[in-house]
Amino acid sequence: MNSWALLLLPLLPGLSAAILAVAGRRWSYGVYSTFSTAAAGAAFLCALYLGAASDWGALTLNWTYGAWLTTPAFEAGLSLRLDSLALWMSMLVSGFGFLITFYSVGYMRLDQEQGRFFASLNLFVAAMLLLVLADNLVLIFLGWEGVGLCSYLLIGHYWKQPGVPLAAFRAFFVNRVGDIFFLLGVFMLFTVFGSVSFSELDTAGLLFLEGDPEAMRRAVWGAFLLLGGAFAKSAQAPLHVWLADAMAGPTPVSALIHAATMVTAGIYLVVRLDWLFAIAPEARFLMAVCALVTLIIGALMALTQTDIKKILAYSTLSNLALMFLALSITAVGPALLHLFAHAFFKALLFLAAGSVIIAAHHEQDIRKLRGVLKKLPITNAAFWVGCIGGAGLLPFLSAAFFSKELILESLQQGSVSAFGLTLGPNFLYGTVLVMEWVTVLYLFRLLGYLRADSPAEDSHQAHGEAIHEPGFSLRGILIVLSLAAPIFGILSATPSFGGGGAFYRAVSGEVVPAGPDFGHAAPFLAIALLLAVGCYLVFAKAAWRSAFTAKTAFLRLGDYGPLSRRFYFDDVYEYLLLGPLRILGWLCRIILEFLFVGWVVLFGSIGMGLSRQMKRLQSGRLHHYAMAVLFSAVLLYLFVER
Amino acid sequence: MTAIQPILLILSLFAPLAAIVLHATYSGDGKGHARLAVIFHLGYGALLIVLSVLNLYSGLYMVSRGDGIPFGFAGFTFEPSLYLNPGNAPLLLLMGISLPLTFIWLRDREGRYGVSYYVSANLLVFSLVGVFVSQSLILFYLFWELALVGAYFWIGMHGRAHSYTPMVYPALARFALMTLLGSLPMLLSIVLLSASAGRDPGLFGIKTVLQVMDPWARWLAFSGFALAFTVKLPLLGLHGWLRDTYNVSPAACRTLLSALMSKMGAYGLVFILAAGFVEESRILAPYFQIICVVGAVYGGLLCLSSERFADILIYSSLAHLSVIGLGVFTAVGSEEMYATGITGAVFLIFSHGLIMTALFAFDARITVSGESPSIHSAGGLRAGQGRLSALLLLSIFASASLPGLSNFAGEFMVFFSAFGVSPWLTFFSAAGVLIVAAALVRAYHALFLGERENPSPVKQAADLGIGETVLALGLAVLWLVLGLYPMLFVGPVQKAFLIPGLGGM
Repeated sequence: MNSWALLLLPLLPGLSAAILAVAGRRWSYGVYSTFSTAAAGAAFLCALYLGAASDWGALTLNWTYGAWLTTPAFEAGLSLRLDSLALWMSMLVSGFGFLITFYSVGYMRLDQEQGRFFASLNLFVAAMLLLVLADNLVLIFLGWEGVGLCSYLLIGHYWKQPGVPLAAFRAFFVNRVGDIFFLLGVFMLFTVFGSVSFSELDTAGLLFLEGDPEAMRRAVWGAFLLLGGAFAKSAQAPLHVWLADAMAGPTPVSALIHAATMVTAGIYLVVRLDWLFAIAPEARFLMAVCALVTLIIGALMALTQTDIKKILAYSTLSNLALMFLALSITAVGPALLHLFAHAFFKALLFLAAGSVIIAAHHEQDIRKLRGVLKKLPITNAAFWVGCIGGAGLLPFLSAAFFSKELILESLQQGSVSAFGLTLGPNFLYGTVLVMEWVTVLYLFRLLGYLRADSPAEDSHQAHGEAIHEPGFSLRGILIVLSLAAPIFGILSATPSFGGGGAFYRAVSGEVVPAGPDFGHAAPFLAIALLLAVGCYLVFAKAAWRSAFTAKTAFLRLGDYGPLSRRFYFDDVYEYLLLGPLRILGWLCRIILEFLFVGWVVLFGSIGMGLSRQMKRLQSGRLHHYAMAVLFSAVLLYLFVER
Repeated sequence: MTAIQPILLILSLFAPLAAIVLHATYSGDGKGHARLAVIFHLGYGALLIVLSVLNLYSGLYMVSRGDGIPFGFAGFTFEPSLYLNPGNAPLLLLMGISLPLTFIWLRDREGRYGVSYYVSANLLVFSLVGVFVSQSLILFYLFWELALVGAYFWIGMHGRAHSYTPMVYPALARFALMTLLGSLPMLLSIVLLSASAGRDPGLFGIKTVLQVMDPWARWLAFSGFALAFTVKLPLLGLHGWLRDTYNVSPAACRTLLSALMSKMGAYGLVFILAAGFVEESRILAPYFQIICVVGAVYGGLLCLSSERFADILIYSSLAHLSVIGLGVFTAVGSEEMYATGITGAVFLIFSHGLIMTALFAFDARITVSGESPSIHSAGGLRAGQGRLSALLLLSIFASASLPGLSNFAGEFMVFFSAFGVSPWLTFFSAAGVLIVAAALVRAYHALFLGERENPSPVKQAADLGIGETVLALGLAVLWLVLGLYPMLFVGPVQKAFLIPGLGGM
């Protein structure tokens, strides 16, 4: 029964996607949106059932069908495994999948291609569940690519709009680049361990490497290669360039795929193979460097964006980087806790943003959305909870307070060294601390704009267009998540704050660290609160905002400054990779193809020339032919006689 | 059921001749011929599918042998014999699926084509089946050359010049010359092998004959076969005929050239070079591996610089066929990887054939004229061709080897086999395939997404009909099944290559 439930977990939304793709068009919107929501809900119920059956992760469940691929040289099974990590991840995926599908029922009501949307959403949930439940790297790769495919399809949902196809293409291409590294990593690990099954690697992986430096070296390479795949999926520099553009998709997609779940797949992979990364300091060093770069880029970019979704997208980059940074110093538990916390507050913020966008007739520019929250009480409350939660401002009430505190605590004690270099605790802690303050700034800047005291002249409010709270499904989900985020905050409280850290223990299987006490966190919080209040007031008050934006405009360093050019990553790719590739393609076309076709033409011309010469022998004169026969006969005689 | 298989095999070989007779004697108009072709190929496809599936899952090695025919000189007897085992059954299965799809999707709706079109098409089909099931080398050669004759007349009589390939005959001459350049040395190789054996050694007797031959003679025989197969595939450097020939071909012919005819070369690499010339292939494997990897990257780069959708498909084919070659030549380099690499190559042969059938057919269905559109000339076509665009995108994903679709398992095995030789081989060939995928997706976006221009510079054809869509969905389901559960196909095929003498080392 349990193994069947395990199988049903990804299968239910997968089957629903297939049915919707084939038959969805013939159904009314109400029927297929309900069908899709029910499938996601059934998956969540399945996850809950499995949770109860496995004593909330204490027991491990397995399901093996047979071989996915078996050759004399390679083997990978069709096996699923539910341990505590997989259980909580599948509850996260199916739970948020259900909530956001329900939210989408209202959000997509007026869309023209709803059937495709809901089919893709269900397919995404199925692929993501396969990813978290897979017992080997090959099966993970199936889910990995499945979520990538859904991401591509959903980013390109509004395919008629300019810029959308390019955004979808960019996501597809960058993720495929990561896939090559992932695949190479899988091969490398198989050649070292002879298996890609987590069950086997977890138990025998380290033993296998003992006393074998060559195997160790190759295992480290495997970790590097897998990290390439993880970076692409979790949008870490330099493979982060697709995530901000991915906001071209519908907002529920941004909430589910590009904030709460899919982008955490890279983190999940590293956590799954934490023992491997623990013995690969070089890979962790690279992880830390890239995460630091992404953290800074994400936070600074979020601070200067004017598109409501892009602010949240860059915030996602920054938060993912925080998780990677924690993983780089082997702080797995805090990273996982933040993964869950991030899902709560970021999904809430995105869905609240979706509510604003719908209310404001698809306007996304925060300068034109000034004061909009004043007319949307439920969305307003959701934004407050999301921003406080994301900034980690208040213990218990902030989803991310304890996770951030635990990460900061770990960074204060941890370091990562490789290649003769060390990223020490002070440097790591200091950088993250400053960036966390920047996080407070961009979240409260956003809140300030949306609650500003004067509506923008070109806003819908100024034009007298009605702005009101969107429909039931949107409001309902906002209320649920607004309550769930603080509850998560309470559940993740550390012992020093009087909490049991139940969630931390369940997810990571580790003893809950004492964590920082309030005295330790107070200076950080005091400054953060000061920044939050200050920033909110600056952007909420019209006069202050004008003065502040005018005086700080120079910080953008013009249209060619790093903030305007997204820190030049796009330019580097365009001019140093794609441009040269295109030029190389043209050179191949013009020069090499000319040679490859040319030699055939030359060959043909020689044939034609010979033919013309031979033709002269066919003179039609009898005595010429007689001479030829005689000559041939003499040659033949000489040959035979010899 | 096994007793019926030899009869089915002979029927499969000669049925296209019956089609030739039917078309030659049919007095109806072009539309009638088109209908006849659809009906025949539906039935013929079903026959090939039944035969190949029966064989794949019965695991039977089957030979159908004719009486000995005294041949040429005293003591030499030519024994025409056919064979079928789970190694070559995938090729018949591919034909069984590809032929009806091609003749349905690309049927002549206007009734432009007459007898000669269908006679030459079926001549090509007849020779293709012949190549894939001939056990005797002489028979193999005869069918090999007959394929050229069929394609030559099909293109020569019904090919069309385009703005991007202005002349039919120079392209056709290049195709014929190149193919002959490969096949005539192959004839010499067959003569050499037969002279050494005193009889036609057959496909699976090559290894035994080589043991009694001088080294120079072995290398000579190897060279003849290698040239023929690498031209037909084609491998990098020998692909000069590829683009123009495909472009001037009628759409159905182009589809079959890519889906099936190129597989003649791949078949030769797997069943003759890898299985017969083991030592020679092993010695030259590193050089071929490099050519294949460079070919994959080169094909990708050409895709990037191409503007015509058909050109992108043609060069994508060059890249993917190079990956098939890589599978074969990394397999021969290592006993451990042999079954993995070769099975991967056969899996890719099958999968690539199916995918190219869909891609070339859909390309020809975009415009009314059948001319392949330029990626700069149109946009927003999806609005008028919802089904075609969705299925084309799915085909592109399958071609891009997305996990869960059929190419993936094949490429996985090939890349793993290559990884055993050097991770760099895997890296560069995967990069080549990635560039191809990027070029295909970019072309799809340019043609189908965005706002449609009004009036559109491209005269868009009607969308796929319901029946055509159902067939395409059936194909998509097959891709999914093979992608999600590849062992269904890998299991039986692999067995054939683990048996020494049949295909194993």
